[in-house]
Amino acid sequence: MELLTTGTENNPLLSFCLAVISRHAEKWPPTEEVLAEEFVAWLGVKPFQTRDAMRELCLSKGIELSFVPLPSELHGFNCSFQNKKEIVISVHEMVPFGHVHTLFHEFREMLERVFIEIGHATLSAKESLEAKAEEFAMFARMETATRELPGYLETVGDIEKNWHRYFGYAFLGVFFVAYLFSCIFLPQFEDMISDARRERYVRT
Amino acid sequence: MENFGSYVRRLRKSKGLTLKQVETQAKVSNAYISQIERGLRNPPHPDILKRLAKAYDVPHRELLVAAGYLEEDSAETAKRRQIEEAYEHVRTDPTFKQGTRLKGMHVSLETKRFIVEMYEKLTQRNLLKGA
Repeated sequence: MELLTTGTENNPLLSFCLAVISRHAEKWPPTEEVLAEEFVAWLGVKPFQTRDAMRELCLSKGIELSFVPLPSELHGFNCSFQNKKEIVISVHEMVPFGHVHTLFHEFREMLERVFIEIGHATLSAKESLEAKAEEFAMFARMETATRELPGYLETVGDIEKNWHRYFGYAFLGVFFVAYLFSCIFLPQFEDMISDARRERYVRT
Repeated sequence: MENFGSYVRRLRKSKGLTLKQVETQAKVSNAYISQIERGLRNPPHPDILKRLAKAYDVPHRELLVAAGYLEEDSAETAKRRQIEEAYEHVRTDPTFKQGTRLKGMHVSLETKRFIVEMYEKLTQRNLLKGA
């Protein structure tokens, strides 16, 4: 609990974890879905952001984010030492939005370490952090889209011509469903692409 | 020392591949691979190892060394050992917290090296000394 006495102003991750604990203490641990909702609201991340915008967001939370070529089996990496925190994501992410998924995954691992340090682990000994971080990343991506949807609907609602507006709603609906689908099946898409590449490589 | 059969079995499992998948990718019968893994057959010809290496996504040389066709040269062995030892140090240092998002369970030497380099960057310590 030493962390609690050193103040939270220079440690946004700790502030976030303490806030989550205070809101969900009576029903601890929260589900990954609830944690993802809290996280997306805290980070203020949007479904479509440039790498620079993501870097800025992370920096505002005390984390240095970089995109670099990583070994082929590595999507991302996170580390912390003293007050330094860093996330590295592969520039070779094969699936669209894969880097966002990986970013959320790395964040989840960092958050769990803080939860453990302040005596509020969210996982039992039997549970795998890797699997939970994947689940969290999926829910977090879905949450980014869900939070933006009312704004998009309002924009489309302002379209004057009826058939343009209906087309807008239809497009939004299809796009939203496709986006949610991509959130759920991203790891499977990655495996499929990776297998296809390996097969092509073996053939050549 | 680990025999070749156990080594390739461990490698295949770490990549999350079934015998059938290896058969498809490497064009080597799954029955034959199974016999190799169980130690019922000698390590296959280097040409077959080349196809297996591609399927397992490891350097051809790694399988040739494991099969006994090549000896690991001492410089490479030393470099590998240095990276493995440095990685172990990083993994067990309680002041350095780290996590990854990996494809499968296998942590390659290249990845270990990257993690050690990140450790060196954040802690300002030098573990690899020119490896």
